[in-house]
Amino acid sequence: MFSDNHRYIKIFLLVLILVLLCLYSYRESKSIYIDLGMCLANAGQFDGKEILLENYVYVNSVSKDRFEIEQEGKKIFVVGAAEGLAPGDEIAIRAVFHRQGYMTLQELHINKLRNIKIIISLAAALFVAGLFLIRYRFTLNGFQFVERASCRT
Amino acid sequence: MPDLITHLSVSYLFNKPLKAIRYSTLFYCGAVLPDLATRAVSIPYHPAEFAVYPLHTPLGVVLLCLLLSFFFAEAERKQVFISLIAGSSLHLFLDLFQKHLQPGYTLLFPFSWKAFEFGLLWPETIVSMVPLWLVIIFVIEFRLWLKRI
Repeated sequence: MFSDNHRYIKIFLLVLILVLLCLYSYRESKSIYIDLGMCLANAGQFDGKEILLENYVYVNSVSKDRFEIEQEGKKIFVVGAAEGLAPGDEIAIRAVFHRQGYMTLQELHINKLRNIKIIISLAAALFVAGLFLIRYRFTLNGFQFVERASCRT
Repeated sequence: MPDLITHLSVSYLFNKPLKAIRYSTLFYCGAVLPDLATRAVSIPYHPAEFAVYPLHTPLGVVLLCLLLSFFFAEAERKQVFISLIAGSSLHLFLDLFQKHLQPGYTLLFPFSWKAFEFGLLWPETIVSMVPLWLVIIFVIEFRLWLKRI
C-alpha cells in the first residue's frame, strides 16, 4: 500500500475520493443543517419549529426583552432575555421560529474568546509550519518532502 | 474545536514522556491537521464549512493522512502515515470533550450523520486554560534543559 508502485494513481484516487466526500457533504448538509436564510425563505415550513443556529451567528442590536441576530447577511429579531449580550457577540441559539419573522428564545450560548482562539490557533499553526520546514524540504526530484541533512538522525 | 495551542500542548505532553512517535514533527502536524484542513477554508469563507467538513471526520482524516504520506520517501512513508494519523486521532478525540448546544462530531460520516460528543467543556473554557498548558510545557522544557547542561 505504501510502495511507489502506481504512486501517482494512488494520489489521484485519494484526491478523487476526498473530493467526492466533500461534494457529498456539501449536498447532504443542506437538507440536514438549517440556517437562518432557509428559515426566512421557507417561513411557512418552519413556522412553530425549534431551530438551532450555531455557525457564524452574530448579535446586531440588543434591547430589554429582545435582540436582533444576523447570519450570513440575514437578520431576525429574537424575543427573550438578552442578559449579558452585546452587539457583535457571536452566539449559538436554540429558538422557535415564527412565520411572522421573529423567533422565541429557548437556549443561548455566547461564544466568548472566539477571536482570541483564532489568533492563538494561527500562532500555533505557524509554529508547526516552522517546525516542519526546519525538518523537511520539498524536492521536485520525486515530488516529495525529504528530511534536511542537518536533521537526519 | 479547542484552539490549536491546546491540541499541540496535549500532543506534546503525550509524546514527550512516552517517546512513542518516531516522527514527532509529523505527529504535531497531525495534531493540527484536521483544523488546518477545514478551518483555514471555512473561517475566511463560511459557505465552504460543510464542503470541507469530511476532512474533520475519522474517515476523511485517514484518507488525508494517507494522501500526505505519498509526498514522502517510500522508505519512511508508513511511519509518516502512522505519525500523522496518531496526531490527527488525538485531535479528534480531544474535540469530543467540547460542549455545544447540540453534539457536533459525526464520527461515522459518510455512513451516518448522527453526531456525538462527551460535552464536558465549552470551547471558551478550554481557551482560558492555554496559559496553564504553556507554563507546564515551559517547566518540562526547562527541566530537560537543566539536565542537558
